Amino acid sequence: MAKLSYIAAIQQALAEELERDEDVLILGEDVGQLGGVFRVTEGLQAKFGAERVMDTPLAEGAIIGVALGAAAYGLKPIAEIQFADFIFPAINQLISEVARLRYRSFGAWSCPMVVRVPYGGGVHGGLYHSQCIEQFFCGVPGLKVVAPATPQDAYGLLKSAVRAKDPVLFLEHKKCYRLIVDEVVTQCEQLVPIGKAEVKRVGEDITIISYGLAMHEVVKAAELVAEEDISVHLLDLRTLAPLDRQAILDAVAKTGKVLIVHEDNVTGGLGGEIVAIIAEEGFMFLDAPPKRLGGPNLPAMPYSKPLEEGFMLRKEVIAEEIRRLVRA
Amino acid sequence: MPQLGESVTEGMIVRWLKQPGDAVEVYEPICEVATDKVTAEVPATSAGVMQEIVVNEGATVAVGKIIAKLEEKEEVVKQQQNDEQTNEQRYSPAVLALAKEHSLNLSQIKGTGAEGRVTRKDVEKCLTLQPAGAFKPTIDPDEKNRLRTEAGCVILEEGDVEVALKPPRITKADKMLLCMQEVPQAWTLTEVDVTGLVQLKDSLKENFLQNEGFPLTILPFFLKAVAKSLREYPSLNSVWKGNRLILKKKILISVAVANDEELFLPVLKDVEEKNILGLAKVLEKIKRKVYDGSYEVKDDNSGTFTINNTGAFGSIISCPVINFPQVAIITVERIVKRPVIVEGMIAIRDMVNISLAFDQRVIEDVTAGKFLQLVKEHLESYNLESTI
Repeated sequence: MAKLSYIAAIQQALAEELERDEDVLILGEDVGQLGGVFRVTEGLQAKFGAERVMDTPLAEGAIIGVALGAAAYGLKPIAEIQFADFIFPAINQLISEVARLRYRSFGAWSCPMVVRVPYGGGVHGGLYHSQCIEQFFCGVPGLKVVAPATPQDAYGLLKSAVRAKDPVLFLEHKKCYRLIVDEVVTQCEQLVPIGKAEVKRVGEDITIISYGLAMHEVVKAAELVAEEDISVHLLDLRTLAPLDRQAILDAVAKTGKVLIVHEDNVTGGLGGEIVAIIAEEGFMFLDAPPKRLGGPNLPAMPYSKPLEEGFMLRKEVIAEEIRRLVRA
Repeated sequence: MPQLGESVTEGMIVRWLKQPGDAVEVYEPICEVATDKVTAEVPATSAGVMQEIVVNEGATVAVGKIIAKLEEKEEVVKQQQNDEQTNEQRYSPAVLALAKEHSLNLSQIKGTGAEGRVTRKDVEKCLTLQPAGAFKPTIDPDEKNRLRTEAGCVILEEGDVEVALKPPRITKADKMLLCMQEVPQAWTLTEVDVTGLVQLKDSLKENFLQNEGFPLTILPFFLKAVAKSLREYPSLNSVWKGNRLILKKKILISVAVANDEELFLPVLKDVEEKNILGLAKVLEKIKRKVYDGSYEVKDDNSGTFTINNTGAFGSIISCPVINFPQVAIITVERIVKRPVIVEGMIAIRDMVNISLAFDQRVIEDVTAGKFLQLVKEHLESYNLESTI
C-alpha cells in the first residue's frame, strides 16, 4: 500500500490498464507528448507509444467520434476531455451515438469506452475551467456516470470503467487531483464496482449524501459539528448514474434526516433526483423535510477569488445546515 | 328571538342554558323562551362560542330582535390555529411509523425538536426508557381481523340467529381481548365470615326500606372495606399510562352495574368520606338509571379499581378480568349459610367468597394476599353494634 494523490492513483490505474490489455488506448488534447495539462498521462506515451497514447486536434466532437469508432471496432478507448467545460461540442456524439449504440443496434454493437473529464471549481479557473456538468448527463440512459472522491475510489472505479462493456463518463474533480492524498491499494483486482455507493462515516444524527470534492468539505463540516456532539452519517455516492437507490434509502433510514450536498447547481442537480427517490420509496423514514445544498443558480463560476469562495460550498455553511436539520 | 308560532309576536327569556364563553353545537338549545302559546328551547343556528347575552332572563322582546351573540365556529377554529402556532401536534412520517409499531401515545412524549416537535430521536429515547415487561400489544390489528374473519366461517343453519355487534360492543370486545392478551393476570380467593354483617343488615332492613324506599344490600359495606384497604395498599390503586404506572391518590371505584343488555362501570367518588347510607343512596341512584336505560356514560374511564358484585347473580366463585388500564379487580360472591368450625364446634355461619385478580407485573402475590386479608378483616369487623 502506498500513499498516493488522487491524480497519481488515476495515473497508476491508466498505466496498469494499458499494461494489462493491448486494446486499451488513450486519446485527447495534449495527452501524449505533454502528458496532459494536469500531467495525468505523463510518461505514458513514452512507455506505450504514440499509437496507444495519442494527441488529438482541438475538436471534442472528433475525440468522442473517433473513440466511438474505435470502441465499435473492438478497442477500449479512454478519451480525455481536457476540461469538462469543453464537453459540449461532443454532446451530440455522447448522447445521440455513444449512449445509444447498444440500444439502437439491439445489442449487436456496443461502445466500451471511457470519457475522462476533469471537472469542478475552486481552482481559480473562471467561467471556462470550473463547471460541473453531471446534471447534463445523469439523465441519459445508456451512459454511466462516476465521480470518485478518494484516490482509492478513483483507482478502483477507473479500472472498472475501462473494463465495462458500455460507455462510462468518468468525472475527476480537478481540485482533488493534488489536494487529496491517501493510502491506495494498487496492482490489485479488487476493483470498485460501478453503481455502488459507500458509507464513508457512520453517524446517528443526520445523513448526508454527497460526492466529489463536496464530500471532503462535508467531512470537514462533520468534524466541526462532532465537537458539538452531532454525529454525521455520510454516504459517498461514487456513481451518479445509475444511482445506488438501496444505499440511499438505507442511509436515510439510519437517521431520518437527510442533507444532500453537491457542487453542481441545486436547480436541476442530482439532489433533486435523490430527494425524489427518498420521497417515493423512503417517505416513512423521514423525520424532517430533506434539504439540498449546492451551487447557486448563476451562469458559471466567478473568477474573482472571494466570489469563487462564495460560490463553492464551504464547511461552515454545511455545518450550519447540519445544526439546523439536527434541531428540526 | 325566533318566531315560535304563527301569530306570536314576542317572547320572554325564561332561562339561559348557555353562558358567554360556552361552546355551542349547531341546534344545541341555548335558552328557554316562553310565549303566550308555547314554552320552547331555542336552538343555536350554527356551532360556535357564546359571546354575549343581549336579553336577560325575564325580559320580553319582539320576534326578530337580537337576544344573544354567537361567534361562529370557523372563526373560533382560525383563532385556535393562530393560538397554537407550534409543532407539538405535527408528526413526521418516521415518528408516526415508530409510534404505530410500538403502540405509543405520542401526546405523552416531550418533543425536543423545532417548536416542541416530537422527533424520531425523542421516540427512540422513550422506547429505550420503556421498562421491561411494559405494556405493548403483541397482536397487530391485521392479524386480529384475520382471526375474526376465520372465526366467521361458521355455517349458518336453519334457526340460527346472526347477531351483528354494535360499536359499543365491539369496542368492549377489543378491550377485553386486549386485557386478556396483554395483562399477566393472577387470581386469588378468600372466604369471609360475614355473619355479623348479615345480622347487622337484617336488623336494619325494615327501617331502612321504610325510610329510604329501597333495600339495604351488602355492596356498600363491601365498597367501604375495599376503599379503606386500598389506602393501605396503594399499588392496587394504580393505572397504566402508556408505559408508565401511575399510583393514583384518589380512590375512584368502578362498580359493575348491568341491565339486560349492557354492562356499565360507573365510577364512585369519595367512597372513603361517605358513610354506608350515603354509599347505598348513590348506588341505588345509579342502579335505577341503568335499569331504566337513562344512565349516561360520562367519565367511566376514570376509575382506579373495579368491584363486581357477582353474588348478585348467584355466583360463588368467579375469575374476574382486569379492567385495563387498572391493575386489579375484586368480586364479592353470593353469601351462603355454611357449617363451619368455630372454636372447635360446628356452627352455621354466613360465608362469602371474595376473589381478586391482579396484574402481576406490578403487584406481588404477597401484597395481593395482604390486601385481601385486610378487606376480609374490615368485613368481619361488623356486628349488631356497628353504626352505618
